[in-house]
Amino acid sequence: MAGLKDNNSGQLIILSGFVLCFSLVALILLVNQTMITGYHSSNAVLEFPKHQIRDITSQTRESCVYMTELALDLNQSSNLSIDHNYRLLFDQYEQQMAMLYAGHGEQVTLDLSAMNLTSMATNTPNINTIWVNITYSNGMTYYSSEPEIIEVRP
Amino acid sequence: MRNLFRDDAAVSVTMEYIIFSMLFISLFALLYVSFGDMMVNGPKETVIQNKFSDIGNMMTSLVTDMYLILPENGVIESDYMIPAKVGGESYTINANLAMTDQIFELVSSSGEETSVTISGIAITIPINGTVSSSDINHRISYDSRK
Repeated sequence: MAGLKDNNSGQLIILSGFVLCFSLVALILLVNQTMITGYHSSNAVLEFPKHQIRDITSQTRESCVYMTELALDLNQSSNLSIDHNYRLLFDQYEQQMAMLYAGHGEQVTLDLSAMNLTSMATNTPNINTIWVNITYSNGMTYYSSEPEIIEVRP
Repeated sequence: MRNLFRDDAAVSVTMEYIIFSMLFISLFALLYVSFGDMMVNGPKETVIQNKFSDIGNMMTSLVTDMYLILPENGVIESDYMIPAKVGGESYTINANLAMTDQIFELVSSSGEETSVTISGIAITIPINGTVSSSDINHRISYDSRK
């Protein structure tokens, strides 16, 4: 014990140990402060299916235009009406969309509620519209657009 | 007896004892009075303020996100989850001032209050309602037909 008291070399090592200790404590306090900020606000942005819903509506708008062109083409090569062709194409599209989103645990239903493509065949310059009911649900968020009115031109 | 008065060898020890005990007793009394504020209420207030601004920002970003994708004709409903208690207290989220002041208000049961701005959305769509943190369901809903 006497040796321990008299031997005072290595003091800088002990001092640096203290300094490190205190700086670590300060860092721990800082980390604890950040633990309680910004969880809910960032989580809400991540969880809310804004992009999914946007994708569904914009994809449906785009696809409706393509389907119009296709239905018109099919009408010229077969004797089925434009409306009938359109319904067939839309059914396929609806099934594919439902399947794609079901893979992520989301429910999408698309429903062709009305369409006005009559002027398409006669080439009169009327506005052709498709009315689609879109619903989306992921358990937390429910979206329905009834109807989404989509303007299509040949 | 004369010897007892002449002998002052232990006086300073006694005085030291008295002075130190007085110091410590007064220090302890001070601590006892302010312990609750220092150790409980102060941190609780900090936690409540932080959490309230966090939850308030969640509400405003939810409303903003919903506002961005509102259907022209239709419905959008979103459930959200918030902690039932913050700092051991239940609280209410109040959107009734949204129309006039463009804020959401979070008020705890002990009266702690935090407001967050909703950046002018209530000018274009009316926002109202209150919700308590202890409710089972929390939902924001929009219906274009109402």
